[in-house]
Amino acid sequence: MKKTLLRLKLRLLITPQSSLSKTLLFTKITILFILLTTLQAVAGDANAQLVTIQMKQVLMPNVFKAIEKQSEFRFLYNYDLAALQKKISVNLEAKSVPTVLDNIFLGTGLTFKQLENNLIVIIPIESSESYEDRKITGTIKDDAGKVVSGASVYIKNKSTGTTTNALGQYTIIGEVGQTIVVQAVNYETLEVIIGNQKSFDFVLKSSISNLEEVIIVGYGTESKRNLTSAISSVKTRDLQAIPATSLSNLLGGRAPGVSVTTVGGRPGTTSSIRIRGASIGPFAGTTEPLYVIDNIIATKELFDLLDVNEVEEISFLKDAAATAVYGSRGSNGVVLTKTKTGVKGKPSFQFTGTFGTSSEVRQPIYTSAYEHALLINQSIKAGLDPLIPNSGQGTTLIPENQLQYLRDNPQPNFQDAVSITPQFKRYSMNTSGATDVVDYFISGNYADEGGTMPNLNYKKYGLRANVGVKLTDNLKLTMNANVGNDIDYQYYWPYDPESISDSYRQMGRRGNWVPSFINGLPVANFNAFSPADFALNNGNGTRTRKTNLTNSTLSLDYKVPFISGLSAGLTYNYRVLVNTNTTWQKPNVSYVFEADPNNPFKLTDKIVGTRTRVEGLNGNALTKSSQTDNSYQLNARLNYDKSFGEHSVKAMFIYEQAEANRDFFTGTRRNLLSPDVQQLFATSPRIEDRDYTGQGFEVGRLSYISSVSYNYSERYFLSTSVRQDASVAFIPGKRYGTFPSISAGWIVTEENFFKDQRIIDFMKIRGSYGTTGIDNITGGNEYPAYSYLTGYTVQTPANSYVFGDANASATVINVGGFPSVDATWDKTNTYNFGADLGFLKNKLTASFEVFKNHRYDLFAQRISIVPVELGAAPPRVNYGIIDVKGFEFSLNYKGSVRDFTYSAGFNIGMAQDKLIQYDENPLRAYNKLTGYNSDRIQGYIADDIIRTQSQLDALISKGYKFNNNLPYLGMVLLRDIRGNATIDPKGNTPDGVVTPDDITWIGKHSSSPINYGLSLSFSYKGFSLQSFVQGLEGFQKMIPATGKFYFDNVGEGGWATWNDAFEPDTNPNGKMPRFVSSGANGDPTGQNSTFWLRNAGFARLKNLNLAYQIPQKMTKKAGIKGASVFYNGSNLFFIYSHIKEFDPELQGEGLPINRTHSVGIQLSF
Amino acid sequence: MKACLLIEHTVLVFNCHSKKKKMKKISLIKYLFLALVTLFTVQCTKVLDKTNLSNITSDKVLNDPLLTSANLNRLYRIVTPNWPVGTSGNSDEGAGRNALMYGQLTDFSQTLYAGTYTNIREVNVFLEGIKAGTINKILADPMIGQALFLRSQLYWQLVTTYGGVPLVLNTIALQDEYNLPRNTSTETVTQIIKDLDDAIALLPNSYPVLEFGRITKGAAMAVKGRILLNFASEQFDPTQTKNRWQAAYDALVLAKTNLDVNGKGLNASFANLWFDDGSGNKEIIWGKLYNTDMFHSRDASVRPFQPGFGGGRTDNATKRLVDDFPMKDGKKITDNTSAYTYDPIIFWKNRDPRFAFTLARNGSNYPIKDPEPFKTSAIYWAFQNNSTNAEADRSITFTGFQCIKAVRVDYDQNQARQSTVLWIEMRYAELLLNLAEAANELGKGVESLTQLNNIRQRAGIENRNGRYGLNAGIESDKNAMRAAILLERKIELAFENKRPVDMRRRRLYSSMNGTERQGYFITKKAAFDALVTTDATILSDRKALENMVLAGTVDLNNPSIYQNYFTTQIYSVETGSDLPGQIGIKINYQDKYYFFDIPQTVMSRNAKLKQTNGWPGGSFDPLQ
Repeated sequence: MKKTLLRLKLRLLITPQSSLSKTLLFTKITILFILLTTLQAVAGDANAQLVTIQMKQVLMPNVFKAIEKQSEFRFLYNYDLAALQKKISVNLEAKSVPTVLDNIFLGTGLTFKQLENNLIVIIPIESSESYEDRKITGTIKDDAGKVVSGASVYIKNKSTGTTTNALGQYTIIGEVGQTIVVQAVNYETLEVIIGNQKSFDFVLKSSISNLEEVIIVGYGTESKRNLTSAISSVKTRDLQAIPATSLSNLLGGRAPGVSVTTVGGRPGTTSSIRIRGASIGPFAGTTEPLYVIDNIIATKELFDLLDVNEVEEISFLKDAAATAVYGSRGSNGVVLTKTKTGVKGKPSFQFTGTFGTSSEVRQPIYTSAYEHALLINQSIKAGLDPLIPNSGQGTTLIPENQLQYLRDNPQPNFQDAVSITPQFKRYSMNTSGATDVVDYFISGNYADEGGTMPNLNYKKYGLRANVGVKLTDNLKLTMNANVGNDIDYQYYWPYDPESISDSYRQMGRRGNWVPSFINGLPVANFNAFSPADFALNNGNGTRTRKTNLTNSTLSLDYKVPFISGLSAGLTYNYRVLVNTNTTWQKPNVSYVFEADPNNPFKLTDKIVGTRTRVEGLNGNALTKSSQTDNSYQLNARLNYDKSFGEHSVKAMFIYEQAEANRDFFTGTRRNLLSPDVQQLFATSPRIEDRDYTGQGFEVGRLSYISSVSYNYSERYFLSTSVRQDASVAFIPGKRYGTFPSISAGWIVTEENFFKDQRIIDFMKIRGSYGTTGIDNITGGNEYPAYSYLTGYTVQTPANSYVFGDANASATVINVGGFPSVDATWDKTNTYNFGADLGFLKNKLTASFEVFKNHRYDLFAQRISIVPVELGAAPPRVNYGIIDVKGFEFSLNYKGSVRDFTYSAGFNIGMAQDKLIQYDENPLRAYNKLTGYNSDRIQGYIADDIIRTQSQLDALISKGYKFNNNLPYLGMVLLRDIRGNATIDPKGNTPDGVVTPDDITWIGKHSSSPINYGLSLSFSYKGFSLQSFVQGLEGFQKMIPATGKFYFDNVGEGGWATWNDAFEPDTNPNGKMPRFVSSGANGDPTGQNSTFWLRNAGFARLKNLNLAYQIPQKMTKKAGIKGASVFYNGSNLFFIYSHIKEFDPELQGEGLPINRTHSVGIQLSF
Repeated sequence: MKACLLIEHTVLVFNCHSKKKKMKKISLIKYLFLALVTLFTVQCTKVLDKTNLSNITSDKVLNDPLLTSANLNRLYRIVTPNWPVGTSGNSDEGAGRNALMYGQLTDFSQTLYAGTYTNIREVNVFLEGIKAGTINKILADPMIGQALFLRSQLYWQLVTTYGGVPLVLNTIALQDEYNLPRNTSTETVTQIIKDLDDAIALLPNSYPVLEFGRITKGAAMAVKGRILLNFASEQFDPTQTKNRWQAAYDALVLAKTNLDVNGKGLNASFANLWFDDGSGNKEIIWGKLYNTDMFHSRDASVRPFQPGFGGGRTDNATKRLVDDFPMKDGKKITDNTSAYTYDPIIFWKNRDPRFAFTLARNGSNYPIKDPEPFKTSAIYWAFQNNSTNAEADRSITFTGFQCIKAVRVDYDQNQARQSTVLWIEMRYAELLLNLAEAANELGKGVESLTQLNNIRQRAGIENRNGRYGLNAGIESDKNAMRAAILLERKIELAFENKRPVDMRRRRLYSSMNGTERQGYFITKKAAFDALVTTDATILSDRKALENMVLAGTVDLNNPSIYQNYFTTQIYSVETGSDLPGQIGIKINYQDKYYFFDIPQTVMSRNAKLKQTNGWPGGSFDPLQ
């Protein structure tokens, strides 16, 4: 009896969950296919099973128990039913269960219904007769007006229950006086007593507590309430409207302890993700977290290829208890991604379209030609290079007539000359749904983004089908298939082909002296070439990168019927990733135009010279490269999940194997026959104009993963896991590594002694300890470097040698260094302590974590012990140690007043590394790295500018010199703090002169140790507003070269801040140093010093989203189920920023981050 | 493998189960399952069975002659010197504002130590590999010979820079005691000579034309002679007490004999020496060929400045070098007995023909392929502000000259950055000069004169006194002959990085100390500006003058006409002086620079190393 009650309780516990969560659960409840056949046979048809019941004078539930023992059936009933209290006798032999039941219910007023999963529900006869009369229908929406599908609707204390379909509709049978209960994950539970109404619409309030949320964890899901490890999770529903082309760009500041850095404003740019300040300091290795998509190990590239609309959730696993199941590669944290699956109900169809534009957030302002001419004249008057006697002589001032001309005829610099307003568009559509047998999610997406300069474009396409089929009640087959494709197109910039930021920087400080183009032709009068021409007309060619992904996963999940709680599963994934690159380089042609004889800046349109520039050997060539990765991952799982009264046990065993290989090929052919035919065949056929090479890689990994977790009464939790991995990165015999973890949690508020107080509604404390590793100890690509082998490398033709009259290149191979035969994993011991709290009926929740990651066996040479005469770097060994310590804190509040709901969230994470063990032998002890964080900033200490002659005279009389040079008026005064290393080994005795000995640590951090995020959202009826602020703190940045160097040549320009340069007579209080000459070798002004160091802390409104749901009345006529329109703004403004000149998230020189405005529409059918 | 066991085990489990139960669909699923198990088992045995597909492993290299030969090519790559660019500034032949010349070098300035030992290890790995492998002796011996030769060059670089260094002749295993002390300079040179002798025994006299460029027996002999010559010189023997000249002389005579027999000699044309890069150029003893894959950018560096391309201020000849070129008859410019009169205004007139093949000067013919408006005709200009571009004005030559030796005028700027002009590290002319020098030190002045005559004859100097302008009796005056040989080396081998070596080898820097190197400062005059009155630009005036010169209506070889357009001033080209009349930093080459200090990073990792004498803490005598 107790068992039956428990069962009922369980039934109710399961029912409230959305079918989505069910699917998640189902995925987790997996099988080993070995058991498949045996169980499959039994599961064939329960109705065909025959039972024998011979019982006398027993209560009816006893009969049900007997049937349960002999068959697969399970019973559900309300124990209060009077008929069940009657004692009966049964004597039936080898009968089917329905026959038995028909027999025993005869005359009891009871009947039964067979449900899925061999469940038999026992109900009174009358309820089934008047079914239609007591049918109650309705729609369930959330407080934002969105329909809630998959919500559970049931009659209180009865077994009757259902779930809402995709439109949020439900139908249920109920009687007057009974209570309808509506439950859905992440929403508050609602109840209503049935009166005469036949229709009830519900509006669910978002669940106040985030604690019950179910999030994805390694190889499964877990409710936040029961977590004992450090995991931050981001549900993508709030991110859908943000028009970012890559997933990583959406995540900045969203999760504490996860640092997301934007690298620039180029279309298709992705952001880097680092978890808990992962650091390798001066060692080899990687700080990149592991990416896992739908339980398959992936890469950052594949992660960014996903469209936000196909993603359900992203979890960041931060401590070893969470990541140890990814042992050999989990040291830097894990980014887990789950794509969407179908939710039960009628097919739903959704379309989202976004259109927008972008502009540069903040870019440095450059001097105009006129302003710069004045500065150049100033520097000439001062003597161009104050450190070289007479250096200004022989150089003539820019005369007055030319100055006037420049003032009256301002020209745009190259940046402005090519600036455009780009467009982007993004479409996505998906359909999803589920029946008892099939669930599906099918989507397609397309994004097209232009840049703020011409000839920059990024396009992305994706198609996905996630389909699950229930083959039998216990066996499910799932197929996830997707193809992805992106195309990144740019003009070619030969000096840094990987980035166009350098091109942007060059354009900024050039080109405003004469027009950038005359009659559309690039002007080269003051420049060797025109960077603007590169951008505007593909003046040096183009570069196109394409990615093609084909990815499929087939999974079988099996619930073992005869061992309750046991399930098994098998997953096979196959992936083909093809990356192709096409680079077309062409000679750049620019023109020198005739100038007015008295004014070189006044140009006519007559061409007097042509400059043709062929950049390098391949300056006129087409290069195509192709890299194909084939990989598979196979994973077999056995899960056990069962409760015994107050005791719950979960166990998992997984075997995983994965192999991958890469095939790389690249070929170049030079001298295109025509720039219009950009094909390899249409080039010079000569043998010396062809160049190609290729390479292969392969890798294999084996893993055994097991974990056991136990909880008592959902109050005390204990989990352990062990993963064993073999990686081919290490020598046979050293390939296996073992990575254990343990964690525990205690929900204090469950204790009786805590129940009486009203302040804290929920409190959990938890702790974890574990070890993880990294097999990518050399920090290469995802294929291991065989550091234990001596290998010979074939040199490129440019590094070959030439013999013979034919001048043929001879093959050159060279031996590598010493093999690292002892190479092994670099490992991390992680300690994590956390607490989760709920207040105000859990409307206010808080989480706090402190952690320490002790990373050891980092890979590097032990430099100090091996003499140079050895002739090779000693083999690298695993010896380095780095600790990272930090904390994370988050606070969330959700509330509502009638139709107005609001929520606020704040999270902050701090992490700082410290080098514990590193071989170093610095000349001076104070240069030591050991004992400090790895991102300190070096430079001189600056004491303002030398502003007066008396100041200068005093310095000269004291013998002050900078690198053997005398000081001069208007220079940045660098402080003397030390003497020469041999004279002043301790580095505390100033010697009167400033030399590199005086360089010291002037900045604590070059990257932000503190990341925080703040979110506020409101909704009222159809309107909703979400805003999100991201902030970085605790770090400094140096003004970049373009801001601090003198560009004293005609044709150049610098930052407009130079307009306030010190001049002894005219501008004695200028903020900038005196503008002198770039020729000043070792000039103190241009050195890295505190003069140029700025606090880089900032916070910006990262995102603002305003949406309006058009009332259904209006859209229904058009056949549209739901429609909403929205505006989205990204990077709209800074809340504060100490650096005013440039975007502190970047370096101040490259292509700035973009501010975007977009509008969109979302339709559902 | 563990996984496979697991699978096999579960197969048994599966069989037990299947017997117990009555089943539907059993057979189909059973076969499916067995198929999966088979697949699984086959797969997992291979999971960790991977090889390095991006490398060639050592066992394959040492048994395969082709791979070994490719590894030998690597040794050529890392040892053979490249075209020297700008090293003339370290001597009296070129302008160069550097710390070495001003005595301002910081400690530990010479950093080639570590890289050279890296290269030595590569040679040692090669030598041990080829000896351990199975390659036929006939193929292996010449390869060993080449590798030994190349190793000798690495040690020579070290000993000539630092003095004696530790001799590492085998790869050091990690468990070895590898803190080695410095060998003496004599021990080091002895080992170098041993390597060369071993190489000479193994090397062939010549190679097939497709292998041209490899080290021959004769090349190794010539280089051995060069090293012995160096070792006999003042750098290693400042007081000239050790009498090492005989060994140098003997080696050079043997080398010459071998090379003569094998067809080597002076190339007929001095001008074309660098453009004939095949086996047909008999002057190449040890050279480095270039092609479109492996090229250098020396041409771009020494060409006139072009905005966006650089150049202009590399290897600018000093007035000293210019003055050292003799007159056409071989007499010095100061020698009144010359048939030609030296005119300081048109100083280029009637000089040694090598002058015009080595230097471009203001108004000379230099038909280099540079685009307008910087270059509008075949004429080169070195006067101040001759360009249309302010950037160029500040970057034209320091001294009024550009080096045109071995510069391909038919290259455009882009080709100049990918030059394939051959570099001859050891040419027959040097061998003759080495022989002349060694002979003279042994009192065989007649033999020295013979070799000088050979060189000067090829240079195209008029032979008016039967000795190409050299003074009578010079063959019996050892000092005069020594000076003549060093001067001949300076002219013949200008900008080939031989003058800095000679100055170091023979400790000649003291003669420069306290002086400033000089150049010509050329400015245009009013008559030049008046050439075109309708247009104020320099460009139009320049073009007008070029047209007149090319048409023959203006003769710039006429001093008064030249002076009508240009002013020539002599000024110091040292740091601190940018205009005539200014004073620059004086040359102050320090005695200790003849043997440099070993880098601190090297010293700190080997307690047994002693620092070179003359440097802080120095206790190692490089003259031992």
